[in-house]
Amino acid sequence: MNAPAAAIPYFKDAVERALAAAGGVELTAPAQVSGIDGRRTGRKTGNALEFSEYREYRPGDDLRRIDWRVYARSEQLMIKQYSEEIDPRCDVILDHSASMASTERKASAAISLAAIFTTAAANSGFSLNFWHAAGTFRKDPSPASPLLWDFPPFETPFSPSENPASFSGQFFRRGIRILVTDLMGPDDPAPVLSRLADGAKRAVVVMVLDPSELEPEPDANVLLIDAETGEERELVLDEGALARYLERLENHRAMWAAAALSRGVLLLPLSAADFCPEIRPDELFRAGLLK
Amino acid sequence: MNELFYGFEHSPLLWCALPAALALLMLYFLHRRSKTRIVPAIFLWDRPQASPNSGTRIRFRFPPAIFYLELAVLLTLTAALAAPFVSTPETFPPLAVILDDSMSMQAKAPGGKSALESGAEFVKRELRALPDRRVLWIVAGESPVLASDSNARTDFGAFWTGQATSSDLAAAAALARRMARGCHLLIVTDRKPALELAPDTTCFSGGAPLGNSAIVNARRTAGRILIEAANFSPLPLDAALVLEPGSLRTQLQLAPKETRRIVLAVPEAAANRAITVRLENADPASNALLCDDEAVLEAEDDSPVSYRIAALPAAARSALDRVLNGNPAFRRALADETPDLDILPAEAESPAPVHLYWLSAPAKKATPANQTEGSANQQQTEDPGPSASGPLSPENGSVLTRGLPLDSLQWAVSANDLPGQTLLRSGDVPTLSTRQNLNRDREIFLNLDPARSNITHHPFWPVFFQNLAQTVRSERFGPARANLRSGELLHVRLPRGAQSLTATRPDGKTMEIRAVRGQADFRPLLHGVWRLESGGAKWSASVMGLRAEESDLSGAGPFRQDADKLAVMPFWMLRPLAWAFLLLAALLLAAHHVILTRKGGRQC
Repeated sequence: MNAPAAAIPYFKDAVERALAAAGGVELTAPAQVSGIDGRRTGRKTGNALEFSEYREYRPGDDLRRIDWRVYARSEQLMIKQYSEEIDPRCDVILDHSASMASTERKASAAISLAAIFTTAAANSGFSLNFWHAAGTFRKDPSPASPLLWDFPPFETPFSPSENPASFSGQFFRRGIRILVTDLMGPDDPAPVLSRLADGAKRAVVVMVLDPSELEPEPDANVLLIDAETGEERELVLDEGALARYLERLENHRAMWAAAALSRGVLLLPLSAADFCPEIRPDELFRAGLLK
Repeated sequence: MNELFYGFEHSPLLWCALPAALALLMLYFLHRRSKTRIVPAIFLWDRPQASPNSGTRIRFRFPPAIFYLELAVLLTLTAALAAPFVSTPETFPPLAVILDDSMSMQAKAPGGKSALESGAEFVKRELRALPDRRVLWIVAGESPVLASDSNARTDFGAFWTGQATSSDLAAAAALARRMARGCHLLIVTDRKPALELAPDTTCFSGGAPLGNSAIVNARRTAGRILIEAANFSPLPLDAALVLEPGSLRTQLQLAPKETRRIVLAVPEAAANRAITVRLENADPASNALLCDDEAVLEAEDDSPVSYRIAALPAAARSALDRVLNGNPAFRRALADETPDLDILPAEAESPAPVHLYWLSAPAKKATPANQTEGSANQQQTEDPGPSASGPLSPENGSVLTRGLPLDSLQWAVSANDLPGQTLLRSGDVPTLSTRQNLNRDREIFLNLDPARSNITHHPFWPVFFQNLAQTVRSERFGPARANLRSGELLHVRLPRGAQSLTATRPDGKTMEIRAVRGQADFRPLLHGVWRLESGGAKWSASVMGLRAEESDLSGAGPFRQDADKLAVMPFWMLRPLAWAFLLLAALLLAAHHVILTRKGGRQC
């Protein structure tokens, strides 16, 4: 069953490292939860069933939530808040575009991250789907068992952002969606981010890049080959060329960050060096994704 | 002030930098060849200037600046290794290059180089290190000749041909010292020179002791040819002596070092033609020098003298008929022909180069040129004129008086005096004299009354006319001799009106000789046939320049003496540059180190 995974020689090591690191780790849900199966309430207030607390009215609040009886008693406009009920569901999507394997370290880190998220979600008792974004969306039959993943190679000739139509998995409603990708596509991020955030309680884009992509070294003559399109450019990687590259990379990331912010999507940039060969998931904890 | 730059041109070490630089360049290109790098987003990188549709582009990638820095270090270190220094032209005295121009310089073993070729290479190599230096080029032939004196490069091959019959190196050295005081000498020859070499003299000999066979002498007389053939090789020689025209072959067996004289009769077919004598030796190992295997002998001009007789007294006319009729040395001139000899009764204009004025009647009543023979005879009968008194005696040795029998000769004169130089005298009365007039015509005065003399029946008379024929032949237009030895003076009498003589040497070069009073004199040196031309007339003269000393190559051999040219220079006049190159290399290396350090050890 796991024959395709064997095609990637470093797959097993990456997964085993992730499993070792994610042994006692849980996925952080957007709200505190207790109990199981729909009786968990989120930390964030909403229009669910259970009263949570009062707070002062702020312009823009729904007037229907004003507790007029409190106003009668104290002449203060107070809003009645309820705890949000959250489905404990999680979709982990891994970008299988060829650019994810531009270096072995980057691919290993992506595999490890996917394994950490799925393991943490399983540890937290989430309903879990693991999606392979490889041209078409394919749900892995063993999402909670990374070593059994039916793992296709990183060979898709486009990123999800370049072909939003392919980003069409049947995600859980009101669940957590985590996309592990490198965001290395030249196209508008809006369609992908909208699709990711639509119906999700929480959407996270983990942007993993190799150090050689974050801080490339100067070099003499280099023939650059695009991992996905095969386009070639021969350049002298001098200081000027590197500076221009870093400027464009920063603009690219800023574009995605702005698009993510406008859609309530958390964009978490990571370095592959933190997940290969050793896993240092500090950034994931700091971002509140894991606990 | 031009500065000379020494140390590079003669040092092959400089050229070591070239492959080293190429190796450095290859290393750079090898090291800096394009590396392939897979990138996730090529759109983030710089886009090349040319459009993708512009077709195949050939891109030349210049090495980085640090490459040129390393190349400069390499070159400066090499330059320092060449130990260069600068000096000024005034630092060095002139250089006199003495080139042995003798024939033996052409000798070479089969497949080898001649001393001339080796010497030329040596001279070029030496002079490459001496740019702008004043060089006196002296060609050492029979006598030294200053061929060039200049600071510029000279094509010495134009005047150094190795065709002289001998070389006087001592005279050439003396000429060099005289032309440029304190000059250094560079002698190029084919053997160790006999003269003592000064310490400032460089001498190079590229010769080798070789076997040779040669004609060392050749002469031609009336009907015979004398040839001296020599075998200078250590082995017996089996050769053939060939005469052309006629292809007359004579086999020769010569012992080692033997010189033999051979006398051959001139073939009838070549009686009045040039004869080429050739020594054929098929073995190149015993014949290193080819130019001494052949000699040309021209036919001497002994054709009959054409004469014309003007109106003379009957007795004189009879006497002339007696000696001229049937004489093979004389013939009567044709009507439209300019005679060689004009026989006249008194001084008169004549186109002939020789005038014989026969004063056969008393001088006061000399017969006019247009007077008839009969009337002249009548006057002579009326006035016998003066008679000679005293014995006949020749004066001032001349061809005309050579071998004249004077015993029992009765000589009656017709005049008391003669113009010109007296050749024969009877008592106090000159009887025969000669002179040259302003046209360089030979005038011979004969003071003789045949009617009162027994001369026409005396042996004096035919002998005198044989001498006269010889004199007339020597006074003909053209060279006085058709065969002569190298260095002998050649008189060439030019036709009337000609101002100069054009002489074409055996090597094809021409020389112009100005005429003085209708005659051009010069000393031909080169062995071979000289072509002469003047006033539309053409002649040839064969110059015999073969010598046993030149053909004998057993004394040739390699020799080398180097003058310590630089050691005699005051040190303060030389400015070594090696330290400057080393300093420059150190500075470049320091800059190289700084650049690499600033880049953190990364290659730019």
